[in-house]
Amino acid sequence: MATQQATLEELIICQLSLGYSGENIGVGATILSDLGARLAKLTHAPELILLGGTSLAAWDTALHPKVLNDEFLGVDSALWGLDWTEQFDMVAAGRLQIWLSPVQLDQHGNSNISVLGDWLKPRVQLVGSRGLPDDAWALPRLNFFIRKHNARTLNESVDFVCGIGYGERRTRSGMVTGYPHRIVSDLGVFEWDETGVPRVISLHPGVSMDEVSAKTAWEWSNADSEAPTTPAPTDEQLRLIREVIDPYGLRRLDGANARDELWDEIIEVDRQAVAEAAEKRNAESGEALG
Amino acid sequence: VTDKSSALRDVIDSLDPAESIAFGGAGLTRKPMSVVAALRNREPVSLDLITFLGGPDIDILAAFGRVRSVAFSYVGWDVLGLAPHFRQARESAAVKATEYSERTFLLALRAAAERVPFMPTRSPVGTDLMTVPNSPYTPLQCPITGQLLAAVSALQPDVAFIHVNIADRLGNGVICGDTYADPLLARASRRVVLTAERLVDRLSKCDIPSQGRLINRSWVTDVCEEPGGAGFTSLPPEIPTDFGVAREYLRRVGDLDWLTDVALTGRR
Repeated sequence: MATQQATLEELIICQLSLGYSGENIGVGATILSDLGARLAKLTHAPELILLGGTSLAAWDTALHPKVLNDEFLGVDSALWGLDWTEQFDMVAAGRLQIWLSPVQLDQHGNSNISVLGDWLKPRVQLVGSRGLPDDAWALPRLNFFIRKHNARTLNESVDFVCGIGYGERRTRSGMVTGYPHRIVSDLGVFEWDETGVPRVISLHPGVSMDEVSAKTAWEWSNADSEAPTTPAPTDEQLRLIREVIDPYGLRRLDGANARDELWDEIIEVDRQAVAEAAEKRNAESGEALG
Repeated sequence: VTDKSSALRDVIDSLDPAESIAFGGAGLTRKPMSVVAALRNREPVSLDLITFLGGPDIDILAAFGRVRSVAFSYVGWDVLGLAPHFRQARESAAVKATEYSERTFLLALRAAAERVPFMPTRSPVGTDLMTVPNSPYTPLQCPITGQLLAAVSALQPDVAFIHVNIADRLGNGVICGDTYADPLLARASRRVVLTAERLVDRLSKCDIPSQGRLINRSWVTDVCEEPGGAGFTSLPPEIPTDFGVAREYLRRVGDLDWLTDVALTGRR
């Protein structure tokens, strides 16, 4: 039952939680998708393997409040430290679940986080391909999270292909995995069908089909019909987000333009949480020795 | 037994300007910042840098115009976004780039560690990484199945600098947090220099926590005691990332005095 008003971030976290299931590593490249993995673990995916944020030193950590220096809170309940070679063996086996957040994504699901413009002398140098080509090749399905839905991000084409979508490149390279599947954005939820045609699944409250069409460089196959509204978070989901996994409110940082005061607040809270965890650890090791 | 402890300045002075330099750590975590400071203080030469996941290490040297080339799978500021001076250097074509995916960067080190010329992979097949200049990949048809693959060339850094929580004079070092590519980097590089938060005469079993990993002394050529050697980046589980400095850095783009006085000297 939904009786409380949810923020857009909370609605998104609930949708992102649906990308996690089973005995897999659940990670997020963004704060909201990380919170989605944690919410999944508390609700429909108890077997999910969490890391402290993205730290392999916090392998299979218990749930703890989201902070910036996550490894420092996650490490105490972690079983051991996984090494990166084994992590990528898990990727190759399709046992990692992640929401990719490309800077450009086209209608075929080709994705880019490397550069805008020409690679040799980019107009904008982004972060580099990172694990995107590895995930795009190996994972059974690819999910994308777009925080700010617009026609520059959901573009006609991408300037640099880091991850392959549907179409000719896929056929030519003989890929049978890494099919683009779902997009969650700040406007709605979208999916490609099995032939690689993108369509609207639901629109967030207050969002119209016209707005989505105007803010996307490609056509949605069902743009002429009515789309359902994305389900609101339940009271229990909101309680878990607000009281258990994100009591300090880091989800607000994924807002389009987080203000300096909010960053200062979160950095201070982070400092205190890390210091408290260290104190607790020292007290426990003191007891063990004494 | 050889005592491998040295002063960092002597190690830096011994570097040949033509040698490629690899940095351990990742993003805003466990970056060998005292090494970056020492390289910045050295006579200005343009460096060939290698890093799995780059951050302020690459960015500061780029700010001072000391970078000829970077081999990387990522250079950025983690949750805070892009690396500003690396951006400027790439956007003005001032540095040569060799771009990897994460897995294939590890495989390139793997090939070097195994002393073979390449490792096979599927990751870049069909992507634009295959066709850009300086691509580390060569198309490869599988001799067994005929499948389309890529060969990623071995990557053997001349010198690797890795910051560790604790090391001994024999050359053993322990990383207590996420190891990233570093154990493999140590096995792939010609020469390995550890900077250590703490240096002891001899490590014992109880110095290695359950999350910890040993870089064994046979790979290590030099050990330098460098408390605070990660600068404003983190050294898990002891020192968190100073996000205050990390954010101020992004407001101080191009301010070389601030980079020298604050970003390179550690904490405020």
